[in-house]
Amino acid sequence: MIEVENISYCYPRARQPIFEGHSFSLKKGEIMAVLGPNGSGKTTLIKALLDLLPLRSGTIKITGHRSYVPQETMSPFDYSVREIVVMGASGQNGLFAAPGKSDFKHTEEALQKVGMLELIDDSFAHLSGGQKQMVLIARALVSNPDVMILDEPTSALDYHNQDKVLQSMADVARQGKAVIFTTHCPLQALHVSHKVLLVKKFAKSVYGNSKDILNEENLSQLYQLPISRHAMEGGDIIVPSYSTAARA
Amino acid sequence: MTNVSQSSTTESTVPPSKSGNIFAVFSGRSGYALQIFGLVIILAITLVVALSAGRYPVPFGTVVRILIDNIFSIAADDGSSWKVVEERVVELVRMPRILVAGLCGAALSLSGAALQGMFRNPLVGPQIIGVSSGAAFGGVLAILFLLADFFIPIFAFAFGVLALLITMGVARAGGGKNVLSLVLGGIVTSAFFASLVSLVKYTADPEDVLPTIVYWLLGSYNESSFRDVIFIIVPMLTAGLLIYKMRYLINILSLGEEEARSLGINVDFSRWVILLSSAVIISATVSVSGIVGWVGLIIPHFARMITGANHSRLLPVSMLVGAIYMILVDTIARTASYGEIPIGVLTALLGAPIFGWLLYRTQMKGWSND
Repeated sequence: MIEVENISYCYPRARQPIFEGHSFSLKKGEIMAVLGPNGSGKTTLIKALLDLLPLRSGTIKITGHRSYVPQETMSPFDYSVREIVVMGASGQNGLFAAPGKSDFKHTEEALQKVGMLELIDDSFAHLSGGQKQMVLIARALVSNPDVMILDEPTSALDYHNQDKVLQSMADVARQGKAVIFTTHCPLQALHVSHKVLLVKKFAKSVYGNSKDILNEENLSQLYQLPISRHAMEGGDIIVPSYSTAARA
Repeated sequence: MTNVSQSSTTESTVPPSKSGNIFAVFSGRSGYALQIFGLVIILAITLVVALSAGRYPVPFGTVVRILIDNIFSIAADDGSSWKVVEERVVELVRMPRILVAGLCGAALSLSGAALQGMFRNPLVGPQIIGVSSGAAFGGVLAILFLLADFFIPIFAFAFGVLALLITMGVARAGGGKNVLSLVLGGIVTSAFFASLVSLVKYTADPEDVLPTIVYWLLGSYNESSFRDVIFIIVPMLTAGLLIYKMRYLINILSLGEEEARSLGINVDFSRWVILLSSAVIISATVSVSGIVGWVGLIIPHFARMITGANHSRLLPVSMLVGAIYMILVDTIARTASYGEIPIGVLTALLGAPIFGWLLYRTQMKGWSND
């Protein structure tokens, strides 16, 4: 479904490529988490996967249609939830086409799936961060994608909303779609994703099964911080040791 | 326009705001049909009032009967229904002028709304892409060379489109294809053509040509004819229709370049189409009436208050409100004093305080809630 081989990208006027030699593959129904410190090129990688950047080298092969869930969406204008979600269909309809009845029906179905149908006529701008994220996921669903790509979908959310977003990602994967998301939370990666890609600036990325890759050594090295992993009944947990912890 | 979009269906979650505006009554999906219906009625009334008002007043009833007579012959054979001069004033003197004013108002508001959406900036008006200045230069050039009246619109039109090409070229040379470089390109082009206009004024014969130039630049529908109606209707039916066809696309473009791309939109091409269509429309309005500012900037804000931000509704509503506004202002321009007040002066005089009020509102609430 997704085959990425040895890709690299260099920003114009930058001395070194922001990433180099990323390789990974993903099958239908699999979720991949991308972890890495700020500035390590996670968002750049996502743009590359969306064909928004010209690669310096390497190849990306994606079969099927992909759709993107941004971290947030900003418009100076106030659209309703329905208007935002139906945009997912408009993109495929061509420049001069108006969304038809079926597009509005898919809009309602997608909102139903993420549990947001009752807010369909509300102002998007007035939703909470968690609700906005669910609406953007619904918008991505409207285009019936084969691959869904999300940029830090949980980073601004509380635990409850994080859980809702992770659940809907898992639902999407269960329907046979591939999901790629970036996150700063290794625990989420461990509990929701099958594969994980660790990216670090100017260093080779690490790719593999989440359970194997997300070990203490890899994570401590990735974040330059002692990170421990503990076995628990409901699944392993991952705990960072902040340097202020000793003082508390 | 949150109050509008929320009030009809979300009583359970958010109570409709009582402090909302007067238009909130006409909200919801069926509300759109009502809005259009209401605006069409207001437009019709405005038309009759405008046809009736002037130095030679014609009673409303007579105006209506003269209009109906065009479709169903209702005039008495002996000519007792109304005076010949009344029919002439209504149909030959006032009608072309009012039609041109209304069409220009609709055209400027349509392109203003589309450009505001595309540039993701509610402070943008049709003048932002340099087309108005370019068209103005074309017009004054034709006047300077004492070309026949017929050439003024053609020159204005050609230079308006040329100005857009220069704007795009500057934007591209500036390294970016993004919105900011387009805006900067527009500023550069506007300034360039504005100084060329000054140069033409400076060299023009102050006895004869200069007053013509100054008066033309101030904007007026004084000499509008049925030929001008054609000159504005044709671009509206082509370029205007193209913009209307892209109404859903403008929604997506207003989310920003990257998001639009990720939704599968060919951003560069769609921007080209919208810019070129706007340039055609704006040049056409400048060519028949000189520069009439502020309308394309403020009318979309009013339209947004009525119907919300969705461009599929905003574009038609903007056109109707723009037509009503321009006909009203033009009626004031020709009736308020003995002489004619240039409409460009009036729209600026009215536009500036209205825009100040809009700014005040949005300072209080933020753009998203206007």
